[in-house]
Amino acid sequence: MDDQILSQAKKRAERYWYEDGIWEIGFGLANILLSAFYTLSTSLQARGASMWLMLALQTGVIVGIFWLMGWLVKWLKAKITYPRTGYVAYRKLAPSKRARRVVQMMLVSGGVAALVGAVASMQTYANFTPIVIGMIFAAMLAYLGHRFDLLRLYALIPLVLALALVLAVLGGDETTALILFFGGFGILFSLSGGLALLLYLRRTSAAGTPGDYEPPAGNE
Amino acid sequence: MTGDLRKFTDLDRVIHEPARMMIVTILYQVEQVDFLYLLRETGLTKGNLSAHLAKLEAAQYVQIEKTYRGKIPQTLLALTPTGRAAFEQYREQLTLIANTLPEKRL
Repeated sequence: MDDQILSQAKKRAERYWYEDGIWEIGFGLANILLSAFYTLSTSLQARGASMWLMLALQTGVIVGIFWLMGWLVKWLKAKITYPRTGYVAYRKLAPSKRARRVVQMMLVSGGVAALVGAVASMQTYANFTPIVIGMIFAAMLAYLGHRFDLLRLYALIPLVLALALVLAVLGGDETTALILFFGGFGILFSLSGGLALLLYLRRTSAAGTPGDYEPPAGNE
Repeated sequence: MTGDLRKFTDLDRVIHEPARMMIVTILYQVEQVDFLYLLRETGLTKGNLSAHLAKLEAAQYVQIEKTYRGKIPQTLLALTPTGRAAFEQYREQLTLIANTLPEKRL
């Protein structure tokens, strides 16, 4: 049996997760909340709040925001997607593969953090940090767009890069630029997800009594 | 060649039916799906899909779990370890047969 058929079946199942735009709305909202938190955190630090306290709070808030958004995405999918086009539970990675994935993610995150730190420490005429972050986000969008055949993610790339460029040219301090970038990206991503959801709702309908399995006569 | 041709008879007949092969291929890639998803993905009719699932369940290749989503009945479907092993063996046999065939003449 052709491996291509199997990988296509896998790709279709994975793409299904992104089809309704709900994940984008959740991730976009998480970015908006992060931006709001950093605004608050900057203002608290300016008023003399301890840096260690803010660091501890930051870890808790980031984990909390992504946990909350994960819950929201699952809840929305259960309410909107599953009654319309069905439910899929994805296969979990084997423990060895999961460990490898965690190590890879840690290496990538460390590399990104080092890169951003190095760029931020450079004394230049423009603020390059939003450009670096923008390119990382653009690369992530290109990867997701390619992997799941999602054209709308490609359309977001020039917008994300334009946002990064504008913030770099505007200059200003590092933190404000990042707060604006995450906020802007969150709005763009949520809007894209909202549009995808609208189109999904238009082409699907909630099955009142979904076609359910009925054992053929004499088979029970 | 005759020996190779006989391998055709060894193919798992439960899986070696286009609709069931499609169902098993989809289930192989996921943990679990519901009936509605499978109905949409395969394009089969409700009755046809139910009949094929019943055959796969009888062969102990598919586990069918009747449950409720709120007040709406929901049927969850998953490939059993036996079904997964049978599909992997089927793939191997099919590849073996395909490899023994002569190249297509142009």
